[in-house]
Amino acid sequence: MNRSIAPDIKPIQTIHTGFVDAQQNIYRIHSEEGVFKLEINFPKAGFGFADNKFHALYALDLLMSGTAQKSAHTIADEIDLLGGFVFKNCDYYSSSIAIYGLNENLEAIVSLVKNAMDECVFDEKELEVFKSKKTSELRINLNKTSFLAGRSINHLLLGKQHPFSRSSDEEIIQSIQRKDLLDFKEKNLINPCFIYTGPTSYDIKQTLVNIGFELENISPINYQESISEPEETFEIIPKENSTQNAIRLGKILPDRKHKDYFVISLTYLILGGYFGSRLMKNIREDKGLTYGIHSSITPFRTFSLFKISSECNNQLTQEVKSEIEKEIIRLQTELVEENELQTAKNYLIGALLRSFDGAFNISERLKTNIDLGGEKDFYERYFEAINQISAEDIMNCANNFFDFKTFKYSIAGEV
Amino acid sequence: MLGLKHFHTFKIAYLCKVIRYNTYKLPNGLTLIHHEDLNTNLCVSNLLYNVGARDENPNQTGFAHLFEHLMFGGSVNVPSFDTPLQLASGENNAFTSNDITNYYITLPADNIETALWLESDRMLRLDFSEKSLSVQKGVVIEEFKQRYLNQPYGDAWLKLRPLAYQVHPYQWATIGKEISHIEEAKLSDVVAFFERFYNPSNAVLCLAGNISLEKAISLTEKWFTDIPAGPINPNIYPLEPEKTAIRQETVEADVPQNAIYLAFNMVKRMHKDYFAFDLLSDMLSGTESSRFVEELVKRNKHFTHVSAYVSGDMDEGLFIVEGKLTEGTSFEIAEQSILNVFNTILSEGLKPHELEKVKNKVITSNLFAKTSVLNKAMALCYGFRLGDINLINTEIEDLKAIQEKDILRICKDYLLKNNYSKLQYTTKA
Repeated sequence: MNRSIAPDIKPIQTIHTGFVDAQQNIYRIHSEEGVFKLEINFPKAGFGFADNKFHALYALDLLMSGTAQKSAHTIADEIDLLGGFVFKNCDYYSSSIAIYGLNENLEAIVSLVKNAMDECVFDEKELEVFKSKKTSELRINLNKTSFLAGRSINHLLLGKQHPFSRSSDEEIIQSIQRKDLLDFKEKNLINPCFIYTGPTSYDIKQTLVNIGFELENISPINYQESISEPEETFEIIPKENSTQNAIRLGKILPDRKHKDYFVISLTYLILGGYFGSRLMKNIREDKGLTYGIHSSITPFRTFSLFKISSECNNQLTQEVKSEIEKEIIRLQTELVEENELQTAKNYLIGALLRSFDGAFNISERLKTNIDLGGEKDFYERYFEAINQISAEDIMNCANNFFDFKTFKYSIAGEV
Repeated sequence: MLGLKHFHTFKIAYLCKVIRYNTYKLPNGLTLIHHEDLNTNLCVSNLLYNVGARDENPNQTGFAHLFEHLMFGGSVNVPSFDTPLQLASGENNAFTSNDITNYYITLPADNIETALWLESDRMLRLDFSEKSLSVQKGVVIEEFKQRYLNQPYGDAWLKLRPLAYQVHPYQWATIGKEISHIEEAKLSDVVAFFERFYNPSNAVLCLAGNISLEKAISLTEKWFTDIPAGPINPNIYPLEPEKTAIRQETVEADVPQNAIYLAFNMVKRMHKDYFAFDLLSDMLSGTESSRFVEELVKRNKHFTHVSAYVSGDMDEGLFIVEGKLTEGTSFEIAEQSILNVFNTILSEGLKPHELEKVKNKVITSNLFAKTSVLNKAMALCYGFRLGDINLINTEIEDLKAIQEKDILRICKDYLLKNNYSKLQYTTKA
């Protein structure tokens, strides 16, 4: 046996997303694990389109905080006794309540959640306790260079008033009133759709009707979004006694419908999107300047945010920044070698395969795809496109979209 | 009312969910655990070595974890660990605890042999190099700063451990006591550590996912049979003597809010009382209906956050309470109000359904955890290390067996004996 020769590998032939269409506002994904997930998704309740972002965030957080009849404690007590878990998510395009439990307790748990939501009074005392918790969290975050740099790069890219980048402060926390939350609930926490993961033999529709949900078809929402990018290109945030500096670089890129989106995805992956990326190999695995350096893309419906993040040695932050620039220039001027290109493609396809492994992963991907207004076959097209990308495509993409001079940056720490 | 029905139905769900597995032992001592799951297209290789931070020399702490980093620096026949795995559409990572070091790989089931090729070659022999050592020292020092030094309260465990343990090697964290220990690591130490702990006799491998038993055995034999057996870690550690008084440290730090950490000594992971501590921690914090939230955050408002959890170590571990104090609350009052919660439990007993509630939540999360093939592979290997692979199937029964009297007993015997360790952070004036 020759240990220096790798075993044969088989390429992945196809991706099955397991995505389904909604029937009367219910998406059903089959699972036989004895447990269910029901996500109640409110397309009008995302923080990106609320009159005030913080009303959306607080209303979701406090949605189980008590009714005229039941305290927050009693509600949690009853759900806990059934072994149920409830997670409240306020996302950019939508908000959702995700409920988990044993199959046989679905109707009981969901009824409790619906009653708590419908009848929520946003009790003043609960709101005060929550404000003091949020204030504490904010003060702790303001002591973290990672938080300061992360907040700053969002401001540089989208401005301080854009709902995604708009940041909280103690004045905002104190200004939130019970009435704001009640108004938000009345206006926005309406017309949900449902993503059910569990045995499809179970009549989830009948259960939802029994509980009192209305299942009328809702028309898709036309989210109007615009960005006005500020002129500032960088920000330095001094923070004394930091043992490391946090560095963030970023740029606005096209959305998922753009013809170059797939090649952008592969280009950022090669640059910094996985452990084998150039930034990790150079700055961590060759120079040992950081525990981690990553690039990422956050997609929105009409744009996406590209970022590079690292917490690094504070004596050598400029070196990290210039190495990032060098790696980008290398992508713009040298063709990626075949083996590196194939490795990145295969890794990306493996990551896709893992993200659709099992019903609960599928339901998460489906929810994201609905939020982004994606076509049902988005990931199949993604898979096909990745396989076709050439080294020339990567070089062109690096030149068209990743010019270092167009990047904005923030550094927080000993600067 | 709901509870009884619930327990009945739970039994049905749970019995359907027995995790079946096979074991096979190679002559060199490597144990293979196989678990087939045809609901996935993936396969996991999870390789656990019987070595952790508790096996380190007190003057060379952080070594097990530094070594874990070096395991990705190439082996005797394979210059790069990661690239061939990524080419096979796989992903991997590893973690080091005080007790174990665990390496895991997930990849499409068709490509599982790539994982065994890579894992077996680095078990055979690492490609020890000065360059890799010096780079990974830099990486680990940055990790030390990122996770422990460069954020408020980040060094709590670095300070809490030496208070809670004065003899047992749990007195240092896996990252190490101090950065200098990492800086001073030498290549000869690395080679010695490898030869002492990294061999098939001291490891357990789990192959889980879309793979047959025959294939699992034949691939394991193919890649691991020729690796020589080696020493088995005897796992003998000094016994921590019982504490007779409260030990404490107060730190003035650049933190926005005063904070308190109480660490109570508790039992080993395999002690029958382990789940009593685990369930008690769930009763105290975790949901809106838990005691700490109700009493300490909402009623007397001594804390903005307060939580309880167990360390879950193989030797005698810790039951931790940590909280951030509201303005105007003194440390004495904060500490007393935590102890009052234990006193109330002891004097008044549990509330109706209080125990049943936390048991039911654990049952649900346990079933969810079993929907992931990686979780199952890790649990099977860890069960093996604890002495019983079948824990994955039986631990829920052990947890269900815990009764109110057990919770009261641990409050009395462990939490109310005035022999805990206490760490306080005060804000700089």
